[in-house]
Amino acid sequence: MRRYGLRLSLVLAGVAILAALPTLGLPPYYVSLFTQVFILGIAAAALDLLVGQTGVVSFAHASFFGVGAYTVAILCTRYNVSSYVITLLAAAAMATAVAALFGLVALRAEGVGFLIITLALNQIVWGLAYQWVAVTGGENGITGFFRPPIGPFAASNVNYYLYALAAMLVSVAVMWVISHSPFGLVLLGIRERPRRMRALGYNIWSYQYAAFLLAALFAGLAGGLFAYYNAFASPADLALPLSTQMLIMVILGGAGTLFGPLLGAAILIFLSNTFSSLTERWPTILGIVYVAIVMYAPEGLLGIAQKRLLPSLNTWLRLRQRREVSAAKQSESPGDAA
Amino acid sequence: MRKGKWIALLLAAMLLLTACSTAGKPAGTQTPGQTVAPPTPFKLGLLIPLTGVFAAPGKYMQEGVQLLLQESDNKFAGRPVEVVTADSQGNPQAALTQARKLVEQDKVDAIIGPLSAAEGNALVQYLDGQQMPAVYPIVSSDDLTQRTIPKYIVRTGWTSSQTTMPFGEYAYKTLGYKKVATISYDFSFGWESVGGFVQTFQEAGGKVVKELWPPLNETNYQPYLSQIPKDVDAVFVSFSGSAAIQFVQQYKQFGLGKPLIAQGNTVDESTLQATGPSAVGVVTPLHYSAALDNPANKKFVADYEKAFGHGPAYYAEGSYVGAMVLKKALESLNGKSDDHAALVKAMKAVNLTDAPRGPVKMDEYGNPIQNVYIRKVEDVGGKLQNTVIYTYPNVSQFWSYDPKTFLAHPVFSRSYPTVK
Amino acid sequence: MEAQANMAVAAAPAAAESAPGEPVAALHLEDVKKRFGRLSVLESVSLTVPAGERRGILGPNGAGKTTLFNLITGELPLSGGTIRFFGQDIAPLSVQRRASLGLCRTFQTTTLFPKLTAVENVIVALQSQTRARFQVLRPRSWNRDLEARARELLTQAGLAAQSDREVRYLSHGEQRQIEILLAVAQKPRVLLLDEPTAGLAPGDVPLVTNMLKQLGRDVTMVLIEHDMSVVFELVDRITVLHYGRAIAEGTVEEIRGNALVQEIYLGGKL
Ligand SMILES: Nc1ncnc2c1ncn2[C@@H]1O[C@H](COP(=O)(O)OP(=O)(O)O)[C@@H](O)[C@H]1O
Ligand SMILES: [Mg+2]
Repeated sequence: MRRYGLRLSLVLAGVAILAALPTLGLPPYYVSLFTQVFILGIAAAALDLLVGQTGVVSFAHASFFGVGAYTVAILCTRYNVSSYVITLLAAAAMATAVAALFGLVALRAEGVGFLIITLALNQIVWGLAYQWVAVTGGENGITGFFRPPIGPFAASNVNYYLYALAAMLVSVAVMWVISHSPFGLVLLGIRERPRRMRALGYNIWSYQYAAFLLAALFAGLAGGLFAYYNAFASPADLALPLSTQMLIMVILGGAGTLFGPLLGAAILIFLSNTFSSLTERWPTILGIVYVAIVMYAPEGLLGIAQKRLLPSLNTWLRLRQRREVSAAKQSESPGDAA
Repeated sequence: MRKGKWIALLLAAMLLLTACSTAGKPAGTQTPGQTVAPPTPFKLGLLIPLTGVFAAPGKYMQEGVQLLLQESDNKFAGRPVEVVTADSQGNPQAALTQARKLVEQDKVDAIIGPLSAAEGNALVQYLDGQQMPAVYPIVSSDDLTQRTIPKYIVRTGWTSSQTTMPFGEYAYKTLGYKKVATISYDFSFGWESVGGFVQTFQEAGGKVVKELWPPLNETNYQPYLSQIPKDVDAVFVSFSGSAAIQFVQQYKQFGLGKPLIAQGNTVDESTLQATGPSAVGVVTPLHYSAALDNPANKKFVADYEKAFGHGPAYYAEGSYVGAMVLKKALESLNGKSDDHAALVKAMKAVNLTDAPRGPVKMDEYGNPIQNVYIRKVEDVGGKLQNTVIYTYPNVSQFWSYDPKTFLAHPVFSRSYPTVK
Repeated sequence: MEAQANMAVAAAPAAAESAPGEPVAALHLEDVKKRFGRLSVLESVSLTVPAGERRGILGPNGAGKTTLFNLITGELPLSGGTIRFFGQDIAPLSVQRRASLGLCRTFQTTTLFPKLTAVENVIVALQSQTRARFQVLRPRSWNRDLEARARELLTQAGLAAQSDREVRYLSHGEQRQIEILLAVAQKPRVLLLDEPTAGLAPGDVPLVTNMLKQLGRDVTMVLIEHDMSVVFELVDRITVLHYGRAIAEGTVEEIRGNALVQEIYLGGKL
């Protein structure tokens, strides 16, 4: 517990600030950008379970995200379901079901082979979203639904911001537990030394498969939240560029750090939306930023922060504590003498 | 490793900077407030793809608006116009985020854009919810102004089938084609273009012997061309951008020897020179041609070439006219834009007589009634152009049908109308 | 004690095809062959290791010793022959199935989880034997018993002080010890040790040999080793591999005295 003390307090402080931001006068546009960060952050953290924890790089993540989005859109428009719990659970379930199928195909291969297969599968889902108009609405996607009230609260942008923040917290907390569970330890082992894991009697395939499903589950949930946020689902929700963006979020923030991808999501979303209004060359600028980070901070931003900032913060805290303790002792000792 | 830390810090600093600079903006624009003297600027949000696959036509849209502003001395109804450009990336999600920025952050008074049907569709609910007046100069998906009509969106462009319905009749009656095959984009723009054509071509007595739909990212059309029966009189297609260039070139190389007719985008001026000699002879319908012979267009083309060093395309004229409609509406309201419903109503009441494309007026559904030109690609002194060979005047999105009967049918799709 | 353990182990699986009356061997290899393309590494190796025995495998570099281990554990497919584990033909079983039956190994080159601490390394091995390996929604810090056992194993090996350090920062000797500890934590019935003292400074060798000596006779041990003193100290019998064949087998004394072995491998050193 003590090991996580500093981190936990940093996280709690961050959460408190985020929760207070809208009431502190965060402009509405930033409320919506942050909402987007929370939602994509869930998906990116889930991808990190695969990339960082298991060592498997998947390009099919957007397809699960998109399946979640379409599930919500379809349930809202065709079946008039107005309960978040039902639609979001269905979104997660659908994404997991698709992943159950894809995993059987993709996990036959390793490394680059896996990467290529997931890429192809993502393209298939995207093509399907485009062509299966009766279900998906084709390239126009599905529109015409609204966010239902959130329990007793109105579905305002600020309330949805808080809802997405809560969803992110719960999801990331669950993912944190998963990554720190015995199962998570096995995933780490598989990433580092698959040969040893086999020799230890672990069925690598089934662990990777399970990780693949879990990642898809959270991606589907995030996709569902995203559909509500946008009030539409479209092929862009499951297009390959989104898979790539999610991978960039993971790498940017720090693969294997779980919280890093949240930071990655924030950076990607804020930079792309603010740069794009400054110059048309923004993709180039972003590209340079990514390359710089990958070159000079291969562990990602949070990886660097944990390695550089956290220890110094820790020692600083410890020093202060020690000083306080010794100060307290000093103030006690005269009393003793007296 | 130490460098990594600096980059991280730099990034954090950039984030903070951008957040601060933009967060400070709205307060700044609000301060002038109620004081009388100078007219408040009209804030125009230009939401167009500046990056991604649609970046090239997006540029034409930007230039079209820019030219109108130049000609208007940068003023609408006496109010200086302040343009805020946002990149929709050709992606519906990005378009929506940027629309939010324009509306909630930049507090624009109206929006012109976007380009693709998917983007346009994604914005409808948001724009209506925000009661934000918007001009759609390019988005052509039929149903946008048909079965359910958005309250705050005015389309100054066209519907995909608005041009091909007259063209189906023209192909049968004037060009004399009896048997036609179609090849087109496999999504709504393609379906609607082909659907309109098939509808009137069949009604006139023609026969559509084959419909082919290559998938979206196809770059090799040979397998589709080889499926065309040898006894057709012509082939009707609908593509745009680089797909159009590739298709028209490959069609010529394939050597079917049958005339190529198409939806207007396929040989739009934005890609025509790149397509090259293979395009010569292609006959298409559209509500505009840069070669249109009227004084307004002559001036438009000359000014455009002078301003940007190249000629306009329909994307440019479309956005030019879109901005013009907005301008006229504001003038009719004496520059007042606070009542958004009134502004939209005024836009729908605009009646243009001197647009480059000819007369434009809105139908009650919010789509223009305008001329549809039948154009033929010709090589004039080494430069390709869409020479107008026939004009269908004042064509509505319903062509010659009664709107009620038209709307009782489903939207044109892969399966409607059925090929007989 | 030892005899009892032996019998218990031998009696456990159904003795599929062994001659009646004969105890089932822990490992029984018959005419095992391995080719890599045109390169024939193992021509034909037959070998029987009775339960409870400690067997040494000698042979020059490139003789195919590690390859033989990889065949036994299933990392490589056989090119011919059969391998029986307590009477059971294990050819169709995957590496992990064989491991969970108790066929465990160490690697010639240290194969640990470098960014995990020593305790965590041992826990990975320990939990492979328990249901804990399926726990997804439970922090592993709650599994106090697993951690306690891991620490106990490390303490027994004299590594208590290093328990919470990432293994990449440990000395080579300590890493080799943990390498063995991981296999031991699996509760092996047959333990295949691939040059456990490889790369150790002479002074560190006893760290490893002492660990191995402490193992009970319920663990059948097969040891590849170059260090003759280690071999002679630990094993009951020796098999000599040469050019892909087992050319000699016998007790330590017999092998010491075998003229052929002396000539081609031991170089008359002994
Ligand atoms: N996977 C492999 N592919 C090809 N050749 C291999 C492979 N593994 C081992 N070899 C070859 O087999 C021979 C025996 O190797 P090895 O079993 O490692 O020898 P030892 O452990 O006795 O030193 C060597 O010549 C080696 O190059
Ligand atoms: Mg070896």
